[in-house]
Amino acid sequence: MSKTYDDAELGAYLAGEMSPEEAAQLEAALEHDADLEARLLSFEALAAPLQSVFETLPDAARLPDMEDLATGPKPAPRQWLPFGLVAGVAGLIGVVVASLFAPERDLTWQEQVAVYQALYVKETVAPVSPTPVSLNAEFDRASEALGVTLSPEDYAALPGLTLKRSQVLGFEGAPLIQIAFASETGAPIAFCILRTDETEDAVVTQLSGLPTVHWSQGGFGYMLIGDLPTSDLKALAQQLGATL
Amino acid sequence: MADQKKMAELRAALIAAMPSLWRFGLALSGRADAADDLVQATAVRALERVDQVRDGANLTPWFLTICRSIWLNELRAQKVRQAQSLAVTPEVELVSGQSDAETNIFASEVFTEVMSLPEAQRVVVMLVLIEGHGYRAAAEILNVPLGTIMSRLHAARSKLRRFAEATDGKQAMR
Repeated sequence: MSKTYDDAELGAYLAGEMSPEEAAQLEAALEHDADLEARLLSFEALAAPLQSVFETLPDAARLPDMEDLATGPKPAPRQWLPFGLVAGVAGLIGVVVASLFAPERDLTWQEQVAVYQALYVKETVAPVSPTPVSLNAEFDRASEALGVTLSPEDYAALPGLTLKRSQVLGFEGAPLIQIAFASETGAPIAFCILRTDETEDAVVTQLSGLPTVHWSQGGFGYMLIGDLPTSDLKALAQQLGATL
Repeated sequence: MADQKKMAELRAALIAAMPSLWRFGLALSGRADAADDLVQATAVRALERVDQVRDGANLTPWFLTICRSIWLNELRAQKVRQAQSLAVTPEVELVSGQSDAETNIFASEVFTEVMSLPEAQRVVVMLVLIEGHGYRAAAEILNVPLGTIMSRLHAARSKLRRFAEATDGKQAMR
C-alpha cells in the first residue's frame, strides 16, 4: 500500500521543494496510482493559463479536409492558394498567417514535382493504355531531351507497377522527365529524372502529402513519388538506382 | 478491405483529434508549417492503417504516436534543413490579435516562452499540461519512463512559473 499524500505534499512536490528521496518515492507511487495522478494533475497551476492560450490554435482553415484526404487529390500546399481565397476562408488572421508562412524561397524541383503529382488521381493514369510503339516514341523523346538513353524495357517489369507513359516536362528551363506508372491499386506513381550537379544520398520523406524518395548521383537527380508504403517505395528506388 | 463503419469511425475520430494533433505537431517541430504537414501526413497514415483500429479504442494516443514517428523518421531532417535558410522566430502572430490588449500580451508571452522550451520539454508540456493526457499516458505516447516525463516537467515548470502566478494575480484583481 503506498503512502497517502496530502495537498501540501503534492504542492511541495510540484514546487520542487520535496527532498529527492521523497520525490522519487512519490514518482514510484505514481506509476500505479491513478488517483494520485489525477490529484497531482489537478494541482498543476500552469495547466489552465497554458490551455487558455493554446486552445485557440490552430485556425480551422489550417486543418486538412477529410474528404480530400480519403478520396481525391491531396490539397495543394498553402502557398499555391490564391491570396484572396485564403483571406476569404481564414479572415484577417488568415491573411497575416498566410503571408508569414508563404515560402521566402523558390520550390526545389522535388517540391515542384510533388505539387504537380498531388493533382494526379487514379483516373489520370487509368485510361492511359500504352503500346510498344507509343512507349518507344515517348522514351525516344525523353532520351533526346535528357541526353541519355532511357528505354521502356527498364521500366516495364518493376514489381507492382504498370508502366503508363513518359513525358518531357521542364524545371527552370531544363528538361525534367516524368515516367508515370499505376500501382496495383491504381494509384498514380511517378519516377522523375533531371540533370543536376548535386550528389545526395536517398532521402525518404513526404512531399505535398505524398511518400517520396529522392536522390542524386552521376549528374542526375531522381525522385520516386506516389501513394505506396514507404518500404515498397524504398525497394523500388533501390531497384531503379541499380538500373541507371 | 476495411468495413465502411470502421472507416467512418476512424474519420470521425481523426476530425475530432485534428486540433490536438496540430498542437502536438507544433510542439514537436516548433513550427506551424510543419504542424500542418504533420496533421496531413498523420491522417493519411492512419487512414491507410484502418485495419489496426480496434472497436471502442481511444484513437488519439495512436494518432499522436503516428505523428511523432512521422516527425522523427521523415520530416525532422527536412525541416531542420529548411530552417537553416529561413528566419525562425516564435510565431506569436498565431495567438495574438484575438482579444483585448492585456490578454494579448499574456498570450504572446506564454506562447513565446513555451515555444522556446527545448523540444523534449515542450512536447511533455503540451501533452500533460495543455492536452491533459496525464503523466503515464504521456510516457506511453513518447515511449520514455515516467521519471523522464516528471523531470522534464520540473524543468519546464521552473521556466514557466511566472505565468501561473500572473493568472492568480489577475483573478485576484477581479
